[in-house]
Formats: sequence, C-alpha cells, structure tokens
Amino acid sequence: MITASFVTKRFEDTIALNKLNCTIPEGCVYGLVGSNGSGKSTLLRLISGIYRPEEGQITIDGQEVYDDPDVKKRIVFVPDELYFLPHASLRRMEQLYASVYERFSHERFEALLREFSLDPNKMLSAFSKGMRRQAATILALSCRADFILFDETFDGLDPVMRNLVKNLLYAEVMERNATAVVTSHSLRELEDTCDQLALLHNGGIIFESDVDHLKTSLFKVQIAFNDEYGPERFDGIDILNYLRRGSVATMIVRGDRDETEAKLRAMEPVLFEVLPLSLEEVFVYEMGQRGYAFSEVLKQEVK
Amino acid sequence: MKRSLIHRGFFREMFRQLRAKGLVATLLLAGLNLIFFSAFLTRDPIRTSYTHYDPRLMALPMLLILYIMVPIMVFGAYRWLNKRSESDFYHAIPLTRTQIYVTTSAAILAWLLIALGSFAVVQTVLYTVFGLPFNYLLYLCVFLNMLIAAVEITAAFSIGAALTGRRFTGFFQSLTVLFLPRILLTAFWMFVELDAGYSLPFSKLPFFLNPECNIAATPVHSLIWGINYANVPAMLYSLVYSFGLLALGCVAFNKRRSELAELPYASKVLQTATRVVFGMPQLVGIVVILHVYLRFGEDTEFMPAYIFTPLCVTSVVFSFLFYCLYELISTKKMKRVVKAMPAFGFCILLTLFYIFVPAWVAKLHAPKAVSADEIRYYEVNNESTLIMPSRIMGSDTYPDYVLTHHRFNEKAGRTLIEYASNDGAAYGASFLFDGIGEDRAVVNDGGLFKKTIPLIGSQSVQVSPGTAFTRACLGDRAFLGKLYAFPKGRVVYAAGGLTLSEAREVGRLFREEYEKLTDEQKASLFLSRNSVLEVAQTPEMMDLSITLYGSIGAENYTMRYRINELTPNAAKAMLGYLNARNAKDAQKQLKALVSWMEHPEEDLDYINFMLGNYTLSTYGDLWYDAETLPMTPREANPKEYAILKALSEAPLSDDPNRAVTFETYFYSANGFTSSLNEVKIGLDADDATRALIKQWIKERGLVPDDVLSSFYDL
Repeated sequence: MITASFVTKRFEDTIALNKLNCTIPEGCVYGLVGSNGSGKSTLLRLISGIYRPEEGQITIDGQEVYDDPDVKKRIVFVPDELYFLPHASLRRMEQLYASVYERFSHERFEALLREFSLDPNKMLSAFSKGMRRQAATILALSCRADFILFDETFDGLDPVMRNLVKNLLYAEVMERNATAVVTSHSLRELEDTCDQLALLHNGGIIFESDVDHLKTSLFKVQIAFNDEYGPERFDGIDILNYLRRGSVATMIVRGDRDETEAKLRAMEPVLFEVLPLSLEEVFVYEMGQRGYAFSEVLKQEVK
Repeated sequence: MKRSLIHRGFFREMFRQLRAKGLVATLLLAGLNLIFFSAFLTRDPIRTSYTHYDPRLMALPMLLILYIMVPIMVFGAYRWLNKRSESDFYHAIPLTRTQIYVTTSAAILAWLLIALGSFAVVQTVLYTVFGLPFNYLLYLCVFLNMLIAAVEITAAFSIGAALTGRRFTGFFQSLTVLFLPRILLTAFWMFVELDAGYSLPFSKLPFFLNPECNIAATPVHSLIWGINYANVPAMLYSLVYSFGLLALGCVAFNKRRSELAELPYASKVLQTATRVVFGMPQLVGIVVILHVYLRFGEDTEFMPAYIFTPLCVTSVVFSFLFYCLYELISTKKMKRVVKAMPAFGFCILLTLFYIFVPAWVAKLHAPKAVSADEIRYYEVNNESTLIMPSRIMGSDTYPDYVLTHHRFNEKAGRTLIEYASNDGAAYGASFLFDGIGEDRAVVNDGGLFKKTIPLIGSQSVQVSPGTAFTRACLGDRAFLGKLYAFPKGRVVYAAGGLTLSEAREVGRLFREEYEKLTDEQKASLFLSRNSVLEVAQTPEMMDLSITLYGSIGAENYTMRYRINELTPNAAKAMLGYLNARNAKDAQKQLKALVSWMEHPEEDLDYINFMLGNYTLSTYGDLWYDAETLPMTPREANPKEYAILKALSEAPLSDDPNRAVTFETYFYSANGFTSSLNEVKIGLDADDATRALIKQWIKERGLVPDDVLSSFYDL
C-alpha cells in the first residue's frame, strides 16, 4: 500500500504539493486526474523516490521510498517525458533493467515484444513517439514490479495500442495483484480504466473515491407529480442538484440507489425515471458540493 | 541489506557510455607517446646523441590531456544531471545515490586507468625493446602522479556536476574546486616572499601548502617552481586529498535533488566563490602595487602615486562587472544578479587580506640569526635547476645529484650562514657576491650556485638565506668522494658521431681508465653544463667527450666526461670509430675549403669548421666567431690558409697524444632537401702546424689569461 502523509513539495517559490494525503491500496488501478501543474507528475516522482518531500512522508508498506533500493525495486515508473539511454536499443535497455530489477522477466519481455511487434535491436531514437511509449511500457511491465506508475499513460498511443496497454495493465493487477497508478489530465481517458480515482488540484487531492461506488452512489432522477411540489417534498433524500422545468423535476441524488428509488416510488409520482450519470457528471456535482467548479479544476469544458 | 558500492550492471552501462570518450583519451595519450618516441627514433644515431628519456617531459602534456578529457568524460557520464527527464530516469533506478556516484566514478577512472596504463605499458616496452635510456622507477612515479591527478580532476568535476544543473556553471565551479585553494595559497606565499625579500623553502612547507602536493593543481606552481614527482609523502597526500574530494563529491551527489537539473546551481557558497574568482583578477594589480608601496614606501618610476586612485577605482569597477557578468551568464536572471551584488564584498575583503596579511606573515617568517655553532648541517640546492626550463628541458648532472643529497657541516659554510642570518638574507647574499671579484675560489661564478639553503639550527629553527658558497664550504671529504666516484646505477652511454654500441664500448674503456685516476685528474675530465672555463694547454687537441645517461632511484642525471690522453684507450677507440666513418667527408670538406681560399670566385656551400677542444654548445656565440676560421681569401688570411692547407694534407691519427681534432659543419642542399652535417676526425698534424694553430689562437685572443678553474677542480 502506498501512503502519502501530509506531503509538501516545493520548487523554488512554487508549492507543487501542499500537505497532500492519500492512500493507494494494493491490487487496483488508481487514477490521478488533474489539470497541468496540479501536481500529478510530482506525486508520481515522490512515490517512485525521485524526489524527496520537504515535509511529510511517502511510504510503501510502511517503508520510506527515497534512496532505498529495496523499496524502489518494487516500483517502476514510466514518466510522461520518456528517456532512454543514449544510442540504446531495447535490448540494451533490457540489460540495464535486468541488472537493477531483480524480478525482471526476460520471458515476459520477449512475449511483450511479440505483442507490440517492436524490433529490440533497433535504435530507440529511430522509434516514433508511440513506439517509444510502447517500448517504455514493455520495459516497465517486464520488471514485474509491485507498483507500476504511468504518467500520462496513453499519450501518443493509437486506440488499438491504448486498449492493448489497458488490457495488459488489468492483467498485471489481476494476475499478480500489482498496483497501477495512472495519471491523466482527461477524466474520460481514465473513466473505463481505473478502480479508484483521485482529483488533484493546487497540490492537494480534493476528491478521491472508488469508481464503481462513484457511479452507483450518484444518479439522476426525473420525477413529476400531479400536484404542486418543491424540493422540501424530498426530505431525507440527499439531493446535490435540483432543477424543475414545468412539472418535471430533475435531481442529482446521492445515496443507495435501491433505497432511494423505493422512497421516491412510495410518493406515487406520475413520472419516475432513474438515469445513469457519466463519471464526468459525477465529478461535476461532487466537486460542486465541495465548492469547486469542475471546469476550473480540470480546465476542460463540461458537456 | 549489504550492498556493493559498485553495481556491476550499472558499471557496465556507464563504461559503455564512456567508450568513445575513453578511447579518444587513450588515442590522445598514445599519440603523445608516439610523438615523443618518434623524436627518439628519427634522431640520427650517428651524428647526434640520444638524451635520456625523461618522463617528466611528458607530465605536463599528459596533464593537459587529462584536463581536456576528464571533464569531457565526467560531464558525459553525468550529463543526465542537467536534464529533468534524464535525471528522473537515473534517480528512479533502484540504486542508492552513493552507488550511482561510486559506480559512475569507477567507470570514469577505469577508462582513465586504461588510457594511462596502456600508454605506460607501450612506452615501457618500446624503450626497453629499443634499448633506449629509460628510468623505470621515475616513470612509475610520474605514472602514479598522473593517476592521482586523474582521480583529483575527476573528483573536482564530479563535485561541480553534482552541485549544478547546467554545464556552464558546472564547468566553472569544478575549476574553482580544483584550482582556487591552490591559487589562493600560491598567491599568498608569493606575496609573503615579496614582502620578505627572500625565497621561502616551499618544499619544506606542510602538505597543503607544498607545491609538490595536490598534483593536479601543480601547473599553477610548475611555472614557478619545479615539481619533484618522486616525492612519496606528497603523492600519498595527493592521493588522500583526491579521495577526500571524491568523498566530498559523493556527499554533494547525495544531497543533490533531482529537480536541480536545468537550474544553475545548488551551492550558494560555491557559486559565490566562483563569482569571486571571476572578480578577483582585476584586483590583483591593486594588491601588487600596494605591496610594492608598503615595501618601498615611495613612488616608483613605473607607478607614480597620482595614478593609483583612478587605477583602484577602475579595477574595482571592472572587477564588479566581471563578478556580475558571471552571475548573469550562469543564471540568466537579473534578479539573481541584484541578489548577488552584496557578496561582492568578499572580493574587497580578499583584496584587503592579500594586502595586509602576507606582510604580517613575512615578519613572522623573517630569517632568525643563528651562530655557526648552532648549525647542525646545511643543505645546498642548485636553484638554477629548479626553474622550469632547466628542470623540464634540461637534466640534472651527476654532481647536481650528489650536491643535493649531501648534508654539509663545514666550518666555513656555517660561518657564512651565520653572517648571512645576522644581517638578513638579502644583504648577506649581496655581500658575498660582491666578494667574488676578490676570491676566485668562490664557487659561484655566473650566479650558478646561488642557493636557497634550508638549514637546521640546534633549536630546529629553519632559516633560508639566499647566499653563495666558497670552495671551502663544500670541501667535505665524504662529498668529494661521492662526487668523483664513477656514477652508480643504470647507465647508458652516448657520444656524438658514434652509434650506441660504439659508445657503449668507448664508455666501458673510459670507465676502466677513469677509476684509476686521481681526484684531480678525474675533476679535469668533468665536462658538463655546470663546468666553468678551463685553460687549454693544447687548444688544438681533442674535443672528444662521452655522455652518460644514468638514474639513481627515481632521479635521472646526465654526466659528460672529456676523453683525452688521460684515458688513452677510450680516446683511441673513439678516434678510430670517428676516422673510419668521417674521413672521406671531412677531408673532402677540408679540400673544398682550401680550394675556395685559392679561388674565392668559385661557389661554395656553407662550411664551418672547428678546431681543438672548445665546445661550441657550452659558451655559444662568445666563442663561436673566434673558433671559426673566417671564410676569406688566401691573400687576406695567409695564416689560416696555411693551417687549412697543412691539415688537408695531414694523415689521419687515432693517437690521443698527437691527434688534432678537426670538425666541419657543412650545409648541403640537394633539390628540395637540405641538411646541416657535422663530421669530426683526428689528424696527425706536424709540429710546425701545431705551433701555427697555437699562435693563431693566441693572436685571435681566444684564451683569456686568467680563466677560472673549474668548480670541480677542488
């Protein structure tokens, strides 16, 4: 389990992370969403032991990561800006990784090479951006690390390769109980990938939740009654957003879906419909509840 | 868990990354090797003698290559520290920072060891195979010194790389680490010397102050003082110092944050020190001038007082500009320049320090008066060999070696030192030099033996007056015994005009004969660059000599002996070899000369010839014109013509008691090539010709009536 406790990281006058707390459990795909400069990459670099926090600490199963090779061996990090050794081929990178990662699997490496159809003897500098990301993915997955950190995972990958990488990630999590931490500035990118999601803003996690829970705990209800009514009629129901147009009210409701549905049906509405929410919509309302404007946080347009 | 400091896989990778640079370093050193070696091979073994291979000649060029290649290798190995993405990659690798640093340093040093080691092996093999003079122990010392220097330069540049995120600042901060302490100390002691007015015994200073230590920074000194590469304590000190710097680099590397990449610096102290380095040279002038003022207390011709103030102001302004310029270039931010401005005060403080503190230290180190009875012994160092051109380009003689390794205790010497120390070193020395005119026995003709004398008093007081010595001061029998003994150790013989094997045979004969001679006779055979004028009773006779290239321990020496009637077998053998080889050429030149004097309208290539036992190379131009017969027609120089005519008809001789040596240098041009050839033969001139030569030499005023005797003629 990765635990960040009150982690602060500064770059000269800029505070990248400010007393951040988070817990990333084992055996899941953990998504970090945030706009550029929100601190996603910094958090990953802290987790992988590249940076040392000015305050607080990052631990993996209770052990500090920074400058501890025994812990770092359990982590592999694929940064957003990829780097390979000068004039190196995948084969040479394999040699270095195999020498420093004890659990590096050459069989897995060969299998992944076949899967991605990459030439291991070709200079990496001759690879396209997407191929370089594939190469980094092959190396990372061959390390058999317990924690796989991907920064802007799918950047530069075509849809086919995105799916392949996603499937490989799932396999790692399912088969080895590995933990994958992936970041993106796009929520849609991670929507169907992650088990858990955290939203970073201004150096702190402002929202963190299980994706399934998120999707089921928040839902949209369209309801109408024959008589006049207002929001006060729905006492005991946690309504995040209420909008009435004519006789039909649209509500965003949080809570147990079956229980809420039973309560509302008991009120004998003339129109009653429960609609699913997209993850993005869930975020919009959840953050609205916390006083944030989603468009500000993720710097993207809300549909 | 216990971890190896050097990670095998990472070492392999770093070693591979440095391959191109390492090979270039190896090739450069190999090239240097070939240049020096080819200089030996391309020498004409007949007409010119070999000189002893002195590995110290290689030291500075090797250091230069290390200065170029080591920073390239270090910055190449650590280039990832200057880019965020690369820095992240390496810092994410599951190795400790110490492992990364030590492994990288090991890879760099492994390449340097290969480059220096292959150079050393090839060099040793070549010189051994070709049978050339080679001092293995001295070579080992120089090699070890270079290896230590390589560690030190690697360490300094590793510190620079670790504490900065840009190459520009990294480079200059590394230079600061490498040279600044040495420059500061050297400058300090130079000012102390300036204030004290005499030479300080630098080699007696503690390690960090001693110019022979900290070998990588020695070029700062070697321009001023010589380096003793065989100084084992100094080498050990340098080694410890180098590994200390490496350890410091490791600490800096551990402290370094990955995010420093692309930022100018991490250490404010080092950045400030580097800025001060940029600002200081403009202020050195002020320090020098103030020292002169403090010492002489008045206007000097070259620097009148009225320009002092504007000079100071200008210097400070320029210093400030350079100081700020470095900050601007390295950080590219005006805000940082403004922040750095107050620290310019360090430049001013340092200037004040260099103005006042050396004067105070000079007073503390002033020579103390000692009585002759207090002096347990005194050492005499030939200072003239400690200046670079002599030390590097020349070679110590065997007497130099004996002199510098002997502790004297002569009453005359101790009395002299007592006088010098009573009145102050400078006054003592000048008095003695004044006295030379009256005392022909003074060993110091030409200032050759002006000494710095570290002497140890009964209370272990060291003073170092510069003074001169009389023969009596050096008259220790033990010293003289060693001085006249035939040199011990490995010896290679060489002689102009002979092959190495011929020279070896002549040398063997010479040694047999030399060891049977008296001290006075031995002294008369000393012929070296340290000898002074000698009276030649038979100026037309013999100009034969043999050179020894020897080594004792790690020290090389050269010795040249005259071969004459005192060593008849050696002389006969040598003349035999010369006559057999040169007779045809020399007699042809002699005849051409005679013919030209008879018919001056004919064309003649340049011919120059010499007679007798005057060595052109010893006193150069002073004797050159006099010893050479003027190339004028027969009518204008009937005496010279008669000599040449007689010599052209004289038979060859290898009789050491009869042979007149005749030597020509002639210029020959053939198509596009030309060369200056030198040939020597022995001729059996009749008595009338001999008398004519003597008369001619006397008329030309070639031999002064009162030439000094040789120093060695004790």
